[in-house]
This record gives sequence, C-alpha cells and structure tokens, in this order.
Amino acid sequence: MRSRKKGYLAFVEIFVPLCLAVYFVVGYTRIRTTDIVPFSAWALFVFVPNQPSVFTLQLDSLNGSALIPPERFEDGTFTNPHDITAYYIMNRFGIALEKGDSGEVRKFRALLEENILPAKRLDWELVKITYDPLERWKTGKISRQSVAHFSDAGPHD
Amino acid sequence: MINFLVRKFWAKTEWPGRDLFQQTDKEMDRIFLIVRAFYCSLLFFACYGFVDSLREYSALSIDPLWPLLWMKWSGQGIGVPLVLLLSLFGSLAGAWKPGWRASRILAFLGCLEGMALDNSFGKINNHLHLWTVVAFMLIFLPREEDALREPEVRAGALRLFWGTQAFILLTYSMSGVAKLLGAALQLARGDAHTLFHSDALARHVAERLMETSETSLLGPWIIAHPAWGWLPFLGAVYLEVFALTVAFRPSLQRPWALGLVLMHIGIFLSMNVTFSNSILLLSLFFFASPFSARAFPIKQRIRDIPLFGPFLTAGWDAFFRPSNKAAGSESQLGQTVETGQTVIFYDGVCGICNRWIAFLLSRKLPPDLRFATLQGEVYRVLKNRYPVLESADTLVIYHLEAGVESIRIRSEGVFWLLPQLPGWTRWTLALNLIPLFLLNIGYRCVARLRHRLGKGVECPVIPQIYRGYFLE
Repeated sequence: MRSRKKGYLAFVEIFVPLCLAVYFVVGYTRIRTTDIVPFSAWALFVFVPNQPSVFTLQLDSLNGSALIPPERFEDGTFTNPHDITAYYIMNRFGIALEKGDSGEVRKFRALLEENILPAKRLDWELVKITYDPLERWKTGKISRQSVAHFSDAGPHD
Repeated sequence: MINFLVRKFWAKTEWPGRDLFQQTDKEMDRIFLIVRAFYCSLLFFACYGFVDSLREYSALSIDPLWPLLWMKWSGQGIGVPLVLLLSLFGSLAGAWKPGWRASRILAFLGCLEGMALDNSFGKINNHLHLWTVVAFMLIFLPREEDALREPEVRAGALRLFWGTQAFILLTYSMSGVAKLLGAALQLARGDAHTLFHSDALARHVAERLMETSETSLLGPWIIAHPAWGWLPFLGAVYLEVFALTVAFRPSLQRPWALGLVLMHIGIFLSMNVTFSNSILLLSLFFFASPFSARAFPIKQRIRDIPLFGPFLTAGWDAFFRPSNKAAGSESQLGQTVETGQTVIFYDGVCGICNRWIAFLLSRKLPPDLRFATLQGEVYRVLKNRYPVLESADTLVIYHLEAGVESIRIRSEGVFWLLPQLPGWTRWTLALNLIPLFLLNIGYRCVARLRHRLGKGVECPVIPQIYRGYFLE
C-alpha cells in the first residue's frame, strides 16, 4: 500500500512535465493550420493585418430571379453577417479552391450551402477582397475579384 | 536522462524561504473546493442552452472532428442528443462526486465530446479547449481522503494541481510567443505594420469588427486613436508571454490572473470577442489558488515581476529607504526576531485583543509564531523604523524571511492569520469575496470601539506552557 502511494508521487512528477511538453509540441506544430482538439496554440491575432485578402460571397439570383445589385454577404438580407463561423468557412473554402484541394472544396461548399446560405434555388459567387483595414473602416475602400460562380447545378466559371 | 530532466523541472518550483508544495490540510481543502467548483461550472455550461444546441446542431450539416467520428455510423440524429446528454450527465457526475475517478472520467468525456460538437461545423474556436485539458488533468487527482491522510499522495496532488495551473498558463505563453514570432516574421519580410507599430491594435480591431460586421464599445475610439491602444496591447502580449513564469512565482499568480482577466475584458470591449469561459477558469484556478494566498510581501511580488523586477525593486528601495534612526535599531530587532519567525503585535490593554490571543493560543499554532504587545519594546523599535505604523494601533503582523521583512496590518493581517488556524480555510475563502477596503472599514469600526466593547473583560494570565510564544 505504502509503495503504491509513493508510486503516485513518482507518477505525477513524470506525468505533469511530460503532458506539458506534449501540449507545447502538438500545439505549435499545428500553428499554421488548424488545431487538433483539444490541443491549441491559441494562435490568435498573430499577424498585424497590412493588406489582407479574404474571401466573401455574394448572391446573384434567388429562386430564379436575378438580384440587382447582387446581395453581398455583409449586407445580411439572406445571411447572418455576424456569424464568425460563416466567415471562417468562406475563407477556408476560398483557400481550398486556390489550392485545388477538391476534397476540402466539396466539404466547405456543402457546409456553406447547407448551413450558411438560404435554402432556396440560387446562384452565388465567391469573391476575394483586398483592403487596408483602417482605410476600409474609414472609407469603405476595397478591391474585389470574383473567384468562382456556383449554382445548384455546380460551379460554372 | 528523463530522471535528470524531471529533477531539473521540479527544481524550478523551489525557492529560498518557502516550499511551493507545503503539505497542509488547508491547501488540500482549497484544492478540492476548486475542483468541485470546476465541475459545477461544467454542469452549468452543459445545461445552459441545452435545448437550443439540440435544435441547432441537429439541423446543421456537420463536419465531425476526430472525437465525433463515431457519428458517421450512428448518424447525426442519434449522435447529437447522445453527446449533449453525455456532457450533461458527465458534468453532473463530476459535480456530485468529484472524489470518484469514474465521475471525473465521465466529466472529461462529456467535455471532450461536447467541445468537439461545438467545433464540428466549419470553425474551431478555443472556448472549451482549456476546460477539456483541465478536465483531463483532474482525472488523475487522488481521492480527498488519501490526500489528507498520506503525505506522498498529498504531495502528488499538490503537484498535479500545480501542473493543471501550468497548463493554463502555458497556453497563454504559447499565444504570446506566437505573437512575437509573427511580429519577427513580419519584420523580416518588410511588412509596413507589425506588432511594434503604434497602429497594431487598431488594425486588429478594425479587421475583426469588419469580419463580423459589428461594432463595439471601445473599437471605433481605438481605431480613431490608434496610439492609445498600442501600449495596453503590448502589455497584454507581455502578460501572455511570461504567463508560464508565474507558475514558478506564486507571489504573482493572483495579480497575473487579474491582468489576464482584464485583457479578456479589454478584448471584449474593443472587438466583441467574449472569453467568458477563460475568465471563469482563471478566476477559479488563480484567484483562489492555494499557492497564492495573501501571504507575500509587496516587495517580493515586485522582485518577482519578470524582466522588470530588479529595476522596480531598486526603485522601491530608493523610495522607501528606512530612516537613519531605523537603521541604527535594525540589529536590535534582528536580535529579538529570528529569520522565519512571525510576530503578532496586539494591543495589550484591550480586553478583546487579549481574548483573541487566548483563542489563538488554544489552537494548534505554527512553532515559528510569536506574540508581543504594541506597548512593548520590540514594537517600539519596529515603529521607529517604520513611522507609518504610528497609525496601526490594533493588529500588526511582522514576518522576517531570508532578510526580507513583511508587515501586514488590519484586515490584511487577519487574512494572513486565519489560514494558519486549522479548519479556518473556508472562512478565508469566503472573506476573499469581500473587497479589502470594505473589510478595512469594518475592521476600523470594531477597532475604534474595542475598548468600549471589551469593558469588563479581564486580561488573562498567560499559562506557563505558552510563555515561550511571547517576546516580552
């Protein structure tokens, strides 16, 4: 009984530093990609945004009727523009498209169409925007570049 | 090799004058109270929004993380309610019987699955990461009875709890170091704006608010006045980078946790990003930490501050240098009080104070404790050295440790004293909830009335067996 109790202290003395080391290594090896839960580097606000390029989307038609002008995601008529999950999905979708990773493209497109976009017949567009954050905040100035068009029938770009 | 590394690691937790892992009942009491509060909080999270989560997660298209891969076979219709129920009953088991390892395993599984479910819809957020890691570590705590009975188990439990705190702090350090690495990378590639430019925070705030098409209480002001946000931002990075250091310097645990909580509040006010779970975790594990009771002299806290400690200590010494008169009497006090000893000075002509001392003597007191009256020679010497003590006329606690003197008066003295008494830890925890300035007001009222209240109370004759506790 006594040795079991002593064994507990010896176990903790090895277990604690070992866990800390594993947590540190796994957390940092995933810093540039996504976390492996529950390991996290909490890599938040790592880079100060200079001229970020991010992806957003716009709806061109809904139920067969063209939207003039097209409805932007941030306008929030048919989507929730405050949804940070939507923001991340759009960006991971855009990055997957640029990389040509068809598996990721399929996955994120499904998440976008099923969880974010209105469940109606629609044509939509993925758009890459580039801006200076402070200038955009003050003047709204951004440069927009269409990346791909999608409809219920699939991409047609 | 591993043994060598492990020994080196734990050697970092030792410092002169105080053993980090003091093995007393009151510290164990505190740890198990914190553990129970942790599981109660998990239960609250599991209950809060249960119905909404069930409805929302069942309707959304899922991209399951690894802990939920089994859902590919069970289907989302069965899987989502199962996960939510596991979170609910796992945390309930943890809150009800935290002493049982089976309860703690169940609580961890519920936390892991619930966290995985929260993050299986396209974005991973960090809200429950740390809670899951902490729940994992707590599985390995021993039973409370074993920890109280067996010194080795108690030592192991204290180290495990400390390790759990270190996990939380390491996460912050990793976040801070990532920011520094990011800044170095941006400088190397010649970016015009980095962490070291005065508009760094303003850019982050603008970017974040535009991501979510929101505004915040302080955000627009910070964007309009970028330089004002920069110093607090650098301060936050400093707090994060050196967070792990605090695990090895318990005098800083409470102030550091306060700083990190304020950082989270600042992020919320400027960017609308809530870190309420992290705030709760920091409060639980550090505000009431057994390693950071209010027993550290202010000078030690200052000396322990990473990077700036030595400079600030030098400034402190220059500002609070004892007078010449005091320097002359230093040796006189040094002859009376030995290093490691604590002296409780009390009003010798106050009936209430004398009864209070009699009460203390009836308890099991630490062997290094001594008593002396405010009317005696030892206190006169001390008062000469620290004229500020002129106004302290009821309770003064003096401690000498490795050449460092600490003095506590009024409520702060009571705070130090109570945890020394067996069975009084919980009262101290309760008193911790009341701001110190309010306690001082209450203390002063009683102190002012003490002679009237203590009328008719006779000063007791000190029994022979206790005479060794008195300096004069």
